[in-house]
Amino acid sequence: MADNKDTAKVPEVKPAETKVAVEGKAVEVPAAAANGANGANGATAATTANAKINPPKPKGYTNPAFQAMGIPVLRLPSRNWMIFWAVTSGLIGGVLYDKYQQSQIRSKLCERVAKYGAKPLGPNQLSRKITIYIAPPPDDYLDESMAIFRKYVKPILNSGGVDFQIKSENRQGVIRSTVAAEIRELRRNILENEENLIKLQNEQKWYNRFKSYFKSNKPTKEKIEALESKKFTDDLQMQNVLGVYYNNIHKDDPIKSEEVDIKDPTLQGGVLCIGRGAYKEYLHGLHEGLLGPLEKPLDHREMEDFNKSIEPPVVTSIENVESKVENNVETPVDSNTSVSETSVSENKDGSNEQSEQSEKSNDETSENKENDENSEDKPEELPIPKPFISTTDYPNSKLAPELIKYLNFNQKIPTNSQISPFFQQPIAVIPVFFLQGFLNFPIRLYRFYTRRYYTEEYGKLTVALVENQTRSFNKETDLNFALDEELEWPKKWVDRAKERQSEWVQELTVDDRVLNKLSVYDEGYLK
Amino acid sequence: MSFLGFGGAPAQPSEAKIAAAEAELDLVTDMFNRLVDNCHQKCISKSYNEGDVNKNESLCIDRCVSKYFEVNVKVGENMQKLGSSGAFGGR
Repeated sequence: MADNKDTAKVPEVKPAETKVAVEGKAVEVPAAAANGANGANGATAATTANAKINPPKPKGYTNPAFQAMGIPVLRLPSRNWMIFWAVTSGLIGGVLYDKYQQSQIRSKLCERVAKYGAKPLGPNQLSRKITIYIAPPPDDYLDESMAIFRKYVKPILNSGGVDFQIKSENRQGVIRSTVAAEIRELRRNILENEENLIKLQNEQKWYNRFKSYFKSNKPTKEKIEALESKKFTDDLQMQNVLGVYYNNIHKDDPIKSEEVDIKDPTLQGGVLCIGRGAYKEYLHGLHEGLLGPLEKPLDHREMEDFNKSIEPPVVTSIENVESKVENNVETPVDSNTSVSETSVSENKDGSNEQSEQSEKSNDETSENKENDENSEDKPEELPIPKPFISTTDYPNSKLAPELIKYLNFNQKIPTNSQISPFFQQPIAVIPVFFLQGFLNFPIRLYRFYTRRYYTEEYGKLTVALVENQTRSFNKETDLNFALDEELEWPKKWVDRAKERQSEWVQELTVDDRVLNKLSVYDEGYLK
Repeated sequence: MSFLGFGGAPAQPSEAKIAAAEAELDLVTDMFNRLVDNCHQKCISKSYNEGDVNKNESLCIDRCVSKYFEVNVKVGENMQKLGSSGAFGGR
């Protein structure tokens, strides 16, 4: 609006002034004929009037040669143009400078680790593999965090010849539950292996061998035939007949990681968490897997369901019918009491309302209704399993008994890949700074123009990861990795999360027994 | 074992079977050659400083091959879907 007004004004003013000037001239002309001095005065008046319209151009620079070539007079642009160009070039230049610096830093760090990537790797070897946990910033998509990974971390990993495996989530709790589930799986495997070992040892004993010799039936004709046919088909497998496998001396070599020979379990692999949420979930997952039980404990509601199923079903149905009748008549509040016994204490209100609705809408038998109640709480997506152990129970529980003998002596835990499991591997954390909001604009602008600092910081951490520079976990400082990020989480989001008791907003609860086994990457030596 | 022409469908002549098998082998070999070609071009540096494959190259090849197979499977599935729905002009 304001612009329009201004532009509208200008043409109004200009003709008026020129008119005055013309009139002035017209008036002065006869006087100039009478008096020369007066005429001169009139002329100066006219020029000042003209100067108001078009201020005199600055002198500029030219020379006859330029003039001969048709090059106009060189002079500085006007004040406004100068301001415009200065601001524009400043803004663009800042971006370009930052980008240039970023690429310089990146290429410097990449060159530093390039020697590791240039090492030869046998055809039956796998290179070192790190695990990367990525969580999206609050109220945004995973792409934001992935962009940070792609920009600051991936180039260095690629030139350093480190393989990676990305585990990302779109909902809170996925990382925590997968981490815990993997640890439990490993514990179960170890238990199984130990059982098998004992069984084998028993078989080795002489009287058992004696027994089994008499027990085992002699190879029958069918068995021999089956074996022969199997051998025949095995010989005709594609890799034995054609292609690159044929006549390949490495054909029968087992494929194993290059890190198999490293004795220290904390120098294998690596874990990188991108985002405070991912780090928090990872730590909680470790605790859940190492301190929690192997099997899913029955939660509150399931326990009560279980108890109910023991009770004679007739009684419950009568109760329910009574409550239904009451409900339909007048007092819905009272009737809830019978239902609320079965519902969980956590989300009392929601489930009560839901059960009330289901009661009103359809007449169902008691069993059906119980099922309904269970299914109603679940969202359409598969629910994320709740932690097997609550954070308050950490001090009371035992550190995984299957692993304790390996963990205590810092031994390698036997796995299929012969690489120590990820919870023995060192950790690195990269924050995802993601500010939102109009008032934060200056900070965001500053960060946008100084991304080179992030490039350096994250890049050095990644170099430390590639070069395997570690130290043991320091409880005071290392729990606060990327803590600043939490201050920047949107307040509305945090409030909502607290209402829902989300995992990210809960305090990071840890146990010393677990923390003592951890180690972190340390980029301090790069300064 | 057809009785007055009402027997089961006549068994496919072995020649047709062999032709089908040959076509399939051609397909597989063609894909394999393309894969080797592409991944070699993408991953192996042309200076050939060393006889061995280095870490970066081998990682690159790993990813290249897995992506190639994945895309191949996806494209194949889609083509099959298109073919069965008759989107190829009834062919």
